[in-house]
Amino acid sequence: MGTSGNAVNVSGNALLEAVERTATLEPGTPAFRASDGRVTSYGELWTLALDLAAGIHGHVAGKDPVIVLGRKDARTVAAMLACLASGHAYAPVDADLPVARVRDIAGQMPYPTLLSTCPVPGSLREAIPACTMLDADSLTGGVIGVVPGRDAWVSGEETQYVIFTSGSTGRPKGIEVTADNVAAFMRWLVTFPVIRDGHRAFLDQAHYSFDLSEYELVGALATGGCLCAVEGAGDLDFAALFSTLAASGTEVWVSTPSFADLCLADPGFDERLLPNLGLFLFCGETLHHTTAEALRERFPRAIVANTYGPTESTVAVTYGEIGEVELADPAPLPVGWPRPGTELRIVDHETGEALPAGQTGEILICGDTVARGYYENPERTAEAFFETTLADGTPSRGYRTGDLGHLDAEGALHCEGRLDSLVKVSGYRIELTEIEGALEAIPGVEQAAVVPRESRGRTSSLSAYVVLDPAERSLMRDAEGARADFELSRILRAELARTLPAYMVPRRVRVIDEMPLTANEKVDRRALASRG
Amino acid sequence: MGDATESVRERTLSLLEEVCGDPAVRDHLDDDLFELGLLDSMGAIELLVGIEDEFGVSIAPTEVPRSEMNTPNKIVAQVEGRA
Repeated sequence: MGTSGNAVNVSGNALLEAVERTATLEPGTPAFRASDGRVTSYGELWTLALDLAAGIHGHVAGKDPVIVLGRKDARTVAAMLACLASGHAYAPVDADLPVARVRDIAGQMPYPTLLSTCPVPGSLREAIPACTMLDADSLTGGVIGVVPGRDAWVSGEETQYVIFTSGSTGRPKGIEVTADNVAAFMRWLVTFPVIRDGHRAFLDQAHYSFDLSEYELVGALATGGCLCAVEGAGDLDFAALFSTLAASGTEVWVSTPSFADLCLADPGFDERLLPNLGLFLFCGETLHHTTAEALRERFPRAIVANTYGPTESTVAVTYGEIGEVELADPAPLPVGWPRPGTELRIVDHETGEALPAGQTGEILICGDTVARGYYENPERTAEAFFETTLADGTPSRGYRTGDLGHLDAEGALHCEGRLDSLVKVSGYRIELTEIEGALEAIPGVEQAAVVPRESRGRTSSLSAYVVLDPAERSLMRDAEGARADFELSRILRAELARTLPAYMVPRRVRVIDEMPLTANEKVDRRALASRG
Repeated sequence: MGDATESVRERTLSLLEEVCGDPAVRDHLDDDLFELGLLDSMGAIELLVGIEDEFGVSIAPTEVPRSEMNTPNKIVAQVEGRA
């Protein structure tokens, strides 16, 4: 096998090399700023990463991925680096994920190992008895083992990280991104405005289990920058959120447009709060005119950039700045131009035929950031990934995104939705069929359909419609009617929250008597969506 | 309580019903909508934007902690105090 898709980088780990360089040359440079203001320097981060790497090396043989369970914490970042330095990919898992979800992830690994940087609940330990459990504090607290050498580092076509997302079959789906993929992404990211100056402060808000966070992890750590952690935005404690933001001195903003909308709801979100903010980087969902306009008004000196890319092609593959010209056009905002090393192809989904500029089809991504495939799933990998050759003759991988879009006359990409039932809510990718499957697995539920609910032109939440077994129906509903429905909806939502991440639990679950059907006997999703 | 106040109350509850997608909000006037799972952070933002559109009233989230806007009655009071 050659180094498919990457002719430049043959080995090594670009991210670890960059962190080591900063840690050696300027160890006092801040690498991580916790939401309580505590700062960890590059020297400290690197020492901790190597100590943890020695611990992992002593406990885990082979090259299997290690689940990293934690919150926004310098030790979580160190744990991810430690996996790489000991030859393991990291699979970041958020501390708030339901136990059953972590079990579904660990269950896909032949020899699962979990490295935690937060307390592990007893229920989780019981759910994954075959999993080797390591915790960061005890690994570094005792005898430090042998620090693995550079030859042990994850490199080349080895997997750097496995990100688990919603899978249509009801199990989370792992996407394997290689060290070369990340190196290629990094070469592009360090050329972005503001980031290229080096030593910038990056907003670190997205969960590490969401690959959007690789933007700030790679962007900051490759350039001597500082990760500024923001947690608890979900609690809606705006006063705390804004004081953390103000103290962070954030210069590079990375988030979904939804998170920016949340902040924009407060008039205090402007350049007086973050006077040094120079670049907004958006990815993960549609950036709307209203969001971009409000940001340009409140942060007149900052660049607002839209980017696009699925996890399967390493965070993002396009970049485009949104200015007066783009905003003057009422059509959906472009997501930008492909990075060097990426070729975008628009094809007819049925025939595979290439379509000219202006015509809408499926977006294919080819180039050096296209991931290795789906973890332990050769069938799904073969369906979505393919081998190809770039225009200059370089062999490369390609990926069928399932996204619809077109290239304009200038070569900028415009996204126009999905071919399948994947939706984005607050930037999280969600397979509606996975939620439907989880609902139908609940005893008493006969049939379920989940539809996105639109508000102001964006998907604001999900609504589930459920038909109960006849026996269950008479039992649950005859007594109290609407009131019982509400209780039932609560019970079903609580049941879902046991197996699905919070962002996948529909805001409303409605019990209906029968599913509306279309003329050809399929669930009439449009009719359901119009019920509000 | 005059007619004007009644209507602000009624309009706020309708808006809340729309955002939460569940008429049950009217049965839980003093219950925590976040705990009931009827509101989440994005829902709360939708509500604030809706209040601004409907009443021309702007409520800055930094000024009103969640504990003062977590039940239908508290939300109505916040709007009535400003409208």
